Amino acid sequence: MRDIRFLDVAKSYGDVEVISGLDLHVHEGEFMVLVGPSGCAKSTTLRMIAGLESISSGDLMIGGERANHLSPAQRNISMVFQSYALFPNMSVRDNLSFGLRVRKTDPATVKSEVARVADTLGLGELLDRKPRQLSGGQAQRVALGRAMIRRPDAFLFDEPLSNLDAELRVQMRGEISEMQRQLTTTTVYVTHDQVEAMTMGDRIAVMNRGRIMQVGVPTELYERPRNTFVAGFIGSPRMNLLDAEDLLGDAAATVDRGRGSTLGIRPEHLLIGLTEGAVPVGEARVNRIEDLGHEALVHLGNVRGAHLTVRTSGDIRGVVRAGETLSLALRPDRLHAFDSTTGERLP
Amino acid sequence: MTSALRCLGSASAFWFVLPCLLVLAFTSVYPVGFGLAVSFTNWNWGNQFEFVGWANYANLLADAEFWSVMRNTVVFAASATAIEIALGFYLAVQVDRLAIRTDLIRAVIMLPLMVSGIVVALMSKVMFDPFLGIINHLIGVFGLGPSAFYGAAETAMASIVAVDVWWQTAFVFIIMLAGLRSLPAEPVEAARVEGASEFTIFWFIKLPMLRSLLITVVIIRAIDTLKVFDIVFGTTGGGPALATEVVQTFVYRTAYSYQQIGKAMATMILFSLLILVISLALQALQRRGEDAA
Amino acid sequence: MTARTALQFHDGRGQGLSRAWAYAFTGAMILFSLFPVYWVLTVSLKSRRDGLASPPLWIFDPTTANYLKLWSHETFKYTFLNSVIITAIGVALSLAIAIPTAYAIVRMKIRGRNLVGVWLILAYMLPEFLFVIPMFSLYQWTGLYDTHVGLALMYQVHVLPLSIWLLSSFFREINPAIDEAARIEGASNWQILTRIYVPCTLPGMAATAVLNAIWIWNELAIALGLTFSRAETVTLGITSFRGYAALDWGAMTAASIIAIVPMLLFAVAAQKHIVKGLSLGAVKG
Ligand SMILES: Nc1ncnc2c1ncn2[C@@H]1O[C@H](COP(=O)(O)OP(=O)(O)O)[C@@H](O)[C@H]1O
Ligand SMILES: [Mg+2]
Repeated sequence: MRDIRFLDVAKSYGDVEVISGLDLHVHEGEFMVLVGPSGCAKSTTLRMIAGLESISSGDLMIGGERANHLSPAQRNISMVFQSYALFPNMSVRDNLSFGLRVRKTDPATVKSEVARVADTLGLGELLDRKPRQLSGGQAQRVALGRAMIRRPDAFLFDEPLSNLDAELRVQMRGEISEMQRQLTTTTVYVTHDQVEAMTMGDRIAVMNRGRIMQVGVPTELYERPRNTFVAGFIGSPRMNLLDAEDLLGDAAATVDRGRGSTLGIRPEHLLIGLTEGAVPVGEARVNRIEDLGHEALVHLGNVRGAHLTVRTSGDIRGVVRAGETLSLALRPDRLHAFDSTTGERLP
Repeated sequence: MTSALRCLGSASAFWFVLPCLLVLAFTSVYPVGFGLAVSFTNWNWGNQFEFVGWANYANLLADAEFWSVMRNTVVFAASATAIEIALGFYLAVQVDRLAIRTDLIRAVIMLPLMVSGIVVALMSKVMFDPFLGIINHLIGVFGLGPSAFYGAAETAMASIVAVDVWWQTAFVFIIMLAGLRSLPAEPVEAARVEGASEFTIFWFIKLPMLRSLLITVVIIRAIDTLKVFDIVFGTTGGGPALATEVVQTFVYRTAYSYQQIGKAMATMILFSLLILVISLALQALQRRGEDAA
Repeated sequence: MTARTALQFHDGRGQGLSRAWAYAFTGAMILFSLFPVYWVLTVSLKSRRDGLASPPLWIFDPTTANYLKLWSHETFKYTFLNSVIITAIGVALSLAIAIPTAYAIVRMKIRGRNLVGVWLILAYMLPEFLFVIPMFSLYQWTGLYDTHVGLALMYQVHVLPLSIWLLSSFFREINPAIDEAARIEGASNWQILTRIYVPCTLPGMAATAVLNAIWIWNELAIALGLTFSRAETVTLGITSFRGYAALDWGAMTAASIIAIVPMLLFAVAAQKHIVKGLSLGAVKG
């Protein structure tokens, strides 16, 4: 088990700088999730750890040693790919044992290690199959097994679940987390799915355009997003982010840091009707209701022309209809205030 | 990229391509370089090896025989390429429309491609024989002929073109059929739903998508037919008189029968330039079409 | 789907007619492709007298005399054997050299990649005698002249570019993440190539080998320039029938048929591969 550390790392393709000033410390044994929209250089970051991409400037430290110059083989790291990247010509057994065989491990050890991993992941029946005879979930498990078998210093995952259907994704999410907690191997997990990030990560690093926006434990990102990007990215449905005046009108002056800022309020924190201790937000017209059964998302437009989303329980079914007008309120302690030019959180 | 990664990568890449570079250097760079040098001499395979400057080139360009050989070659290449492209592409379009499995059809039509040029040449001699050949007999049924085929200056070139068409049309057919089969179905189906005729669909939808591939095939066939040797060597040997002498048979004769190596190499150099110019021109045509699209 | 069916119904007659033409034209072209081979086969099975009959005979008493005569024709047998050896060496050499080169071109960083590309195109398209005539003296001087290896080596100038293009396009179909996975598992480029790429593209290797074999087997100009007797190929063996006894059609046609047969067997056995090889380079460009 070793830690991984980026020190002021930058990466360019030709003249295009895709990562700049990257500082990130993944602690020993930690499950770190890199999350961000597509194209924000998550994969590039991961591949620099693996040694698949060179580092343009700065230092990558693995276990306290500079690793910039090490080949992938020398880093003793495993990686699981989105496409699984199983070797098509080899049986599951040979896929699992490839890394050991390449390293000239003695056959007896190879055999027992394959048995151990197959046992852990329930691959016993599949050992003689070829990758094309596997379902998506099975292929995924083989890829996990191939990553585990060498007992690497770190696991790297690049969107490993995005090719699976929804149900399997939830299941594998649990299995990967479970496996990591048992092995306590340092893990960097890349995803664009914030639900995966929130449910799996010990800590999460939110990336945007090649920069880290915030690093923290999941609740921290949810409760104290450092800027409007993180505020909008973490949480589903998105946080309502509006100019203070558009949200509150004249009442903006009554809330702390309300004046001239950008305010954020999560859809689950907007209240329908007046509640004690809540600040009234005014009337809003219901444009559309998305009924998800156990809950409903109500999309509204307020008198100041701003669009809002409210998340409520499914009980409003039949009570509220599109076209009706509702009065909204919010608790001031649930408000997030951001500088309207820089987007940074106001203290 | 200062990292050792890249240096390591390219070092091992170097070992991967080294055998290829060595073999290509030996089989192509050396002969072209030495050949170029020889083209400025009067070498005769033996002791006569003097620098003669541009004399070989000047003599060639002033030599009616050289020009007639060049003309024969270009006439052969242009006619054979044109007919093969038209016939092969048309056949591919027809086969593409058949509602049956076409693997076997393709295999049968491909057969001539498997036959070596010299065998094709000998086969054609048997069939084109003016007195005993089956072709004169067959065209006689329709009241035509008999023709002397290879025996007469007027028909010899046409006969060789016909032989090349038999031999190589399948190449065009196979590639264009694969091209037609790889076209996306949606645009064609959309046009069909709009009520476009099959001809309209072919001309305005399929053909533009196949344009680049078609030009590639033209380039391949043009180069191949310019380099023609086997079927001329095996049939007329360049005759009657010089009616079918093409560049490569001419050079073979010049080098191996007359031992005029300087002249032979000068011819090869000029001819190589011609091939280069023709293929670059065709490629430019291809690129212009892609830019326009 | 319904729109399409309706449309077909609408002008069904025109469709039917042009479909019929498509079948007729295809049939005619099949006849055109097959007839010469069929005819030469019949000539090779005719006795000398039947072969020289005028008008040509469609029905005759087949005889194997021409083939038996060929069987005792030592030179022809010898050239046939030479071609087998030279084709084997040439194909092995081309694959051994082209496989690592194609891998490096597709999956490794190499400087001057474009230069190599242009070089390959030039080697492929320039005329044979440009290479053969200057080689003649070098080959005599080095002892490569009139040897199997020498000829197989010279053939690389044509089959190497072709092989590299074909193999590159097969290799490109492999997901590059597989390389990366293998590299992370600790494999070297050579191990990735031999343990993954080659086993994954065996059909492509076969296609390449078959096309190279056909080309080498059928080649004439280079063999003519660089061999004399010991390493004469079957195409040269057949050429000798051109001159001697111009009217001995029996031997000439029998030799032709025998030279066609190995390639014919290839074509039948590896039709899919050949088509794939021929069209892949061009279609995928
Ligand atoms: N080989 C490359 N050459 C040039 N640009 C690249 C290359 N690989 C990735 N990029 C660019 O780098 C950025 C980050 O890519 P990537 O790390 O794959 O993003 P993510 O995984 O977050 O979706 C993208 O804008 C992408 O276009
Ligand atoms: Mg990615």
